[in-house]
Amino acid sequence: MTTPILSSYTLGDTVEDFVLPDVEGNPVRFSDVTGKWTLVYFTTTWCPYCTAEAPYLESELVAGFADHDLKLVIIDVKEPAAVARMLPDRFEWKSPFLVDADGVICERFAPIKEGLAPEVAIINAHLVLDENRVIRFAEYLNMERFDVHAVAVKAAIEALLAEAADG
Amino acid sequence: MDDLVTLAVTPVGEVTDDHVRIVLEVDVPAGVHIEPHRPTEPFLIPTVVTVNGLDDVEIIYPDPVAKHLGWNDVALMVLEGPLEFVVTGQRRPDGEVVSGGISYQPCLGGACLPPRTVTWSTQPNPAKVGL
Repeated sequence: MTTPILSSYTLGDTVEDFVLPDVEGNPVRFSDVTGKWTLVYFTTTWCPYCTAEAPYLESELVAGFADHDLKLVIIDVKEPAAVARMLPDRFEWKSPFLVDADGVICERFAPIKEGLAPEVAIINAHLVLDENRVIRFAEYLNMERFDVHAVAVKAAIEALLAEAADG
Repeated sequence: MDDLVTLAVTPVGEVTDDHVRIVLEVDVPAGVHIEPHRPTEPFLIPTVVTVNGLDDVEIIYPDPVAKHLGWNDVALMVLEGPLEFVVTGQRRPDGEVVSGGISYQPCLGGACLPPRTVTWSTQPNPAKVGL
């Protein structure tokens, strides 16, 4: 696995706590919705790859780790709540869905991709945090190896769990 | 980046009696592709031409080409390079100017960008005959 370059955070960094609204405008503190393990997923309504993966994200990827207290936190990037809410409505997500309407939070996580704005570079990103909100895994969209079932993410989570179990 | 993925559209229109035919010449920048009107996968965002100022509009979209991306078992059909969209319809009595838009989502090798719309407008000239 190559180490991704993050514009702000890098692997091993601790994610600073933040507050974003949900689609109803209620403030949600990130640390209140994380778990022993947390998968942070960045999306938008116009990202076709996100839409492709969406039906499997909660029901397949995260549900497979229900016994390990893996929480999913979905962050919609640079869209107003009125637009963003289409996603949880359509895919019936139950996980926390936060709206980063001005893209300030996503910039902290975005990889440096030449010529791409942070809000584009971060789309379809999967980041796995441990209970201390340390980034233990990060994968960004690559259309050459895109997988709607996020097999690489699943394998990475399994590896982290195994590593933790070996302790 | 926006300038690099914005389509350049040149409308060329002609009218015979009340029948208007407009060719939208479009240049998709190198390294960029857009989706066809009927994408390979349902989650991809189609390219759509809209037309104002004509009745009985028909639009002929360009034929897509196969593009192999690593994630898909079958090649995606995409639009690249120079393209022609053909718009035909009946001119309205008060319609000198025909306008419209092309909505599309540009994709690069590693990412898709937000969908956008470019507008076009033309005043079709009488078709040349007898050549």
